[in-house]
Amino acid sequence: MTLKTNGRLSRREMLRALSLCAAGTTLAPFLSGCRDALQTPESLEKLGRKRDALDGKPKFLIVIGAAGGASIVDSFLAVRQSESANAAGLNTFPDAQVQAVAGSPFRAVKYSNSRLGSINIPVNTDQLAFVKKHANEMLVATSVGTSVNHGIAQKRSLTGNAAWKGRTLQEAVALQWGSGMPLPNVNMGNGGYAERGTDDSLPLSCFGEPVVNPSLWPLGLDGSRGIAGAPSKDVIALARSTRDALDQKSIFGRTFQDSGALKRWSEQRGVQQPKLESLDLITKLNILPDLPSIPLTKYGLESSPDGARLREAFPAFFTDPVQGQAALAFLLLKYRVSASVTLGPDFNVAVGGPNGIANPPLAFDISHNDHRGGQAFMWARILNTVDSLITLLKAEPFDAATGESMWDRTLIYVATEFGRTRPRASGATEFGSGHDLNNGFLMLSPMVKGNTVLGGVDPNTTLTYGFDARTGAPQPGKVTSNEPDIFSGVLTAMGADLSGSGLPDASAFKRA
Amino acid sequence: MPLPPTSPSRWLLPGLLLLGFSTPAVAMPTGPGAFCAEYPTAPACQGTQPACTYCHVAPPQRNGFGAALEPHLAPGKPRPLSDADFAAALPAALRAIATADTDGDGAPNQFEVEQGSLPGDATSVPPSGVCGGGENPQFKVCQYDPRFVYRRMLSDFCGTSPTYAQVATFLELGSEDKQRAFIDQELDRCLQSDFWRGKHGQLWKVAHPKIRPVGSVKSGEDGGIIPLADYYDDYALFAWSQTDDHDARDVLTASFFVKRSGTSPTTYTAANTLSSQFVEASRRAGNMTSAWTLTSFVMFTALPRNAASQMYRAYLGLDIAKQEGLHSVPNEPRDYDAKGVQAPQCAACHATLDPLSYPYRNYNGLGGLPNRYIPNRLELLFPNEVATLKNTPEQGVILGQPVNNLMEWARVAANSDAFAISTVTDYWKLLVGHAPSPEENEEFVRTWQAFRTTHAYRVQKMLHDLIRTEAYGAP
Amino acid sequence: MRPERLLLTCLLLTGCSDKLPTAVDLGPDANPGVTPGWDGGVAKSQKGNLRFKGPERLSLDLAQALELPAASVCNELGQYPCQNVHGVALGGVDPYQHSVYETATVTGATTPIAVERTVLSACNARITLDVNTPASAVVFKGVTLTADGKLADAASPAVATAVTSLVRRAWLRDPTQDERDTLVRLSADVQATGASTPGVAWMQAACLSVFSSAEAVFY
Repeated sequence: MTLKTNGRLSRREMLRALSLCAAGTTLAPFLSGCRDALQTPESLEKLGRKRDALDGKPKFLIVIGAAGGASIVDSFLAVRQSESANAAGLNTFPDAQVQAVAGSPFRAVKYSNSRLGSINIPVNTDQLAFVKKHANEMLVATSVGTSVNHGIAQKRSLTGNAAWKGRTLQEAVALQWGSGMPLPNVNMGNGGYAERGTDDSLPLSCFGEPVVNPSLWPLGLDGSRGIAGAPSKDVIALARSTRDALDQKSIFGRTFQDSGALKRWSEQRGVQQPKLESLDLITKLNILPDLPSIPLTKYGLESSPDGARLREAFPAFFTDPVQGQAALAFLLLKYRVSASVTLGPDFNVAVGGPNGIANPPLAFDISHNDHRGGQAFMWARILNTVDSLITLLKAEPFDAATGESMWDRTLIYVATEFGRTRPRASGATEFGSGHDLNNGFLMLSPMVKGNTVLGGVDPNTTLTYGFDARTGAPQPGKVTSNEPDIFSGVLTAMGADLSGSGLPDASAFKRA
Repeated sequence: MPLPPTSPSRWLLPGLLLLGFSTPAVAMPTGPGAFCAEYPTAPACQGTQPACTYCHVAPPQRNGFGAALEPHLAPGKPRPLSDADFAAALPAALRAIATADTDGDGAPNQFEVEQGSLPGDATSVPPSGVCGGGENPQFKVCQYDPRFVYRRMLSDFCGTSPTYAQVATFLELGSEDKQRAFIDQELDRCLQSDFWRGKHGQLWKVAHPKIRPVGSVKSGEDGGIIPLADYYDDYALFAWSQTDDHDARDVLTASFFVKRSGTSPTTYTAANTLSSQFVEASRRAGNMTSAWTLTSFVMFTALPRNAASQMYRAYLGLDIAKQEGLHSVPNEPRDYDAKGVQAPQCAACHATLDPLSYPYRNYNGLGGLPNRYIPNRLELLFPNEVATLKNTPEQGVILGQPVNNLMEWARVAANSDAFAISTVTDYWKLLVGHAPSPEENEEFVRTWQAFRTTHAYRVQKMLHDLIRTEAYGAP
Repeated sequence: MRPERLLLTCLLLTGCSDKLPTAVDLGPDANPGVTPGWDGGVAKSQKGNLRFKGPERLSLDLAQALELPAASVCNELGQYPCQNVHGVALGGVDPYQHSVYETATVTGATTPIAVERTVLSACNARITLDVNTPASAVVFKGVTLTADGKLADAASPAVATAVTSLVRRAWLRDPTQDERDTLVRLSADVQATGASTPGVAWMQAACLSVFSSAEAVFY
């Protein structure tokens, strides 16, 4: 009986786990992920964590927070006017704007307008190329949420509304596959997407490390490099060991030795920090070029070996937050720093793009002002980012022996927050929309059941309806909340072992 | 619109009975009130009532404590229970599991309730009431330690630690009374500092989650790319209300504005008009009607639920999205804007949220005539919306109390226990480092009650109380 | 009242100066600059009532303690204030551009690294001034270096005074004899690494040890 079948480590699996922990670094016994692997199966079960086949190979989750409410009926489940008995009064499109893809259930919206709401920039977008390219690795699952508050809905799209003890998807992935990684969960999102879950039983390392400036953040990954006149690493090591000894013996240290803050500090300073520094992440994750305004060489620093390639893929990395986040996300996964990364636009305006605005105010929520234009613009922004990431991940080898690429082991989850209201003034092409619980989520991965829509859309209401998460059978008329199904679906598709979690069976999400 | 008194037992929602039993059990907003009737001295009931998350994960899904209660709630009666049946059954159900230990943390349920920890959360435990003894040459552990407080106070309010010399001289003051008096004197000095009250200072830090700035759409000083409104006015009013001899309630009730000027010192001055503000004096309610609030929280919407809920959350500490502060109003929600909020899973919160929002109906956000009070706004600016929209009244309800307009809303809010609790909680988090814990509850209640009464809502006087608590000053 | 007490009292009261006073170094003659060690048990705090300083307090305290202009404390690549680059990592907010409205409730994985960078930068700034303009040295007064960059005399009163000065500035108290000896002995260990300027390297190590300690960054 092996872990996969009964949740218990076989002797061979236990020995292998121990050997993996012992290899590599002398810090292995102290790394929290390795410590956990030395626990008994019973204690692991209590944590709710059971692994898939213990092959020691990680899988990766990229969460893209589509802040503001990304409407699935303005993208892959768009409704043509000719299909709807109530076309004029609902969010339906002229037929020509909703393109079909042969052999695929997905739609692709084409949209043009001379302005984006009150902002005088043109919007010309077409989702067709994306759908054609990625349909076989796309899954759209319809959904009904439980909140139209931005922050709450964002968080619930990550927790399934507390489906698994309140932990987020990112935390669950960090727990399953982040063992030994220095920062298993890095979060560049904002609002509810950046909140940690409420499962305090998780190891500290599972919780998201916040990053707000992805381009400059790597400068903070070494305690002395890049500082003019810094002493050698040997001297730094002496300083640290002296400091640690003084802290331990001082009255202050002895008085507060039981303080949670100091215990956490000791682990972060004594275990996580050396691990981060040993990986030379101040170089590997730094895509800044050497310029007079960024004098890396003068301060003894270098750009990442991947720097030029990423600057080409994301040329606006320094001014467009999402591009900078995506570049860092790729590197975090490539260098096995993280198992889960979160990124996404925020509500601030970002300058850039071909017409001067890379991100409109409120991101998708500009739909209050101009629904069609806002949705088209922002979907294009998200899909372009996804496309660039997939391209990079496909080109990045994961395992030379098996020929797997990084993409083979990655799932991208576009957390759409919530939907938008459907009514419009009769025949209006420019209108605003409010928040709505009814929507759908997008996932991309070789691990998901590709070219698949779970659920469907009623063209006469433009509301999505649900599905059986186990079989995938559509359930017309089902409009009740299914947040736990989506949560379970992401983890099921990734192959996480969920026995003991209480999550619903979401086999329909997983590629056979 | 006459409304019945707020006794939970008299809140009947006949509509629920008509829904039949095809839907799962709905949330019961009468629960918190019935809970507090059973445990009136519980910390969760001191000036407030427990959130629905006391028994639920997210209603109707129950946590361990709620699940333990359920079998004892009118056993045998068909589900869902009516509000009246639920409220009548809850006390007996609570008593039935009073001696059990639902979360297995070693403390019986009733003991946890009375001590202020959560009976459904194993990580929330009652205060041990025991503080270890022993000697310590540097810290007075478990007791108020003036040296510890002096260092902490200077760091918190002035932004820098005292120097070695300052500490030495402080200790030489001798008696604890003199030391405490000196600390009070230094606190008054630091409360004038830019670190505390200046631009981007500590008071502004308290205000950030309330105002929720978005830099790229700011107008005026440090303006953004698409200037829409100036939130520095909101920070100015907030800082003004929290300083000197000013009434903290002005942040909600002020009919004036505040200008900031200078640095070291920064000064805040009341003003009757500002070029960046457009609501006339008779319609103003502090930061509730600022240009920034109307722009960012009313925005383009007809019925500004987001604005109302954000003010409720920010200034009363009640987050409806987390099922806090629910005071369902009978026959609500009326769903004037046809958003489908009468559905059972929505009505549980919208029965509070919608009447809370009605007084905002004439305050415009973005669009034509932005950031102004416009009589008959819905009729004029939303002519193509559903016909029932224009029936939205301006009268509303907050904390179970009817109000005629937003200014009355602001006064009821500002005079509530919730406002005092929320204000003191803000500073507790800022200065103690966390929300009040069960063992700090007694000091916390004393502090916010004094803030309301003895100190007449003067934050600076309250801060003198706060730094004298053991929560702040015992290492 | 003894003259130094008058000075201290004046330094404490508000009316004497608008500028916050700096640490006064009494020197080895007036006071040995150590506090008695404590051999007994130490009663532990049950509440663990500690707060991390955060970016502003860390920078301001370093500026005050090492008598540096606030803008000189730490700048990445010589121009980007560490307080901004590492603000959120240090537990700060970033409300206007990144919607980070509340401080983190716990320190993050990269917080200790950001602390060390900030401290090391500030220490370097002070050490450079003290070494290059010894007449106006503030911390390492009278600490003489040989032509080949070593400490002329690690056992000198000036070195002991410098250690006491560092500790007073960071920990607001005198070091114990053991603490002072540990920091002085560090000079030999530093020299053994083969550092090209071991005297300066020792100053950096001692300053980093003291100012990045838990006692210096928590309060």
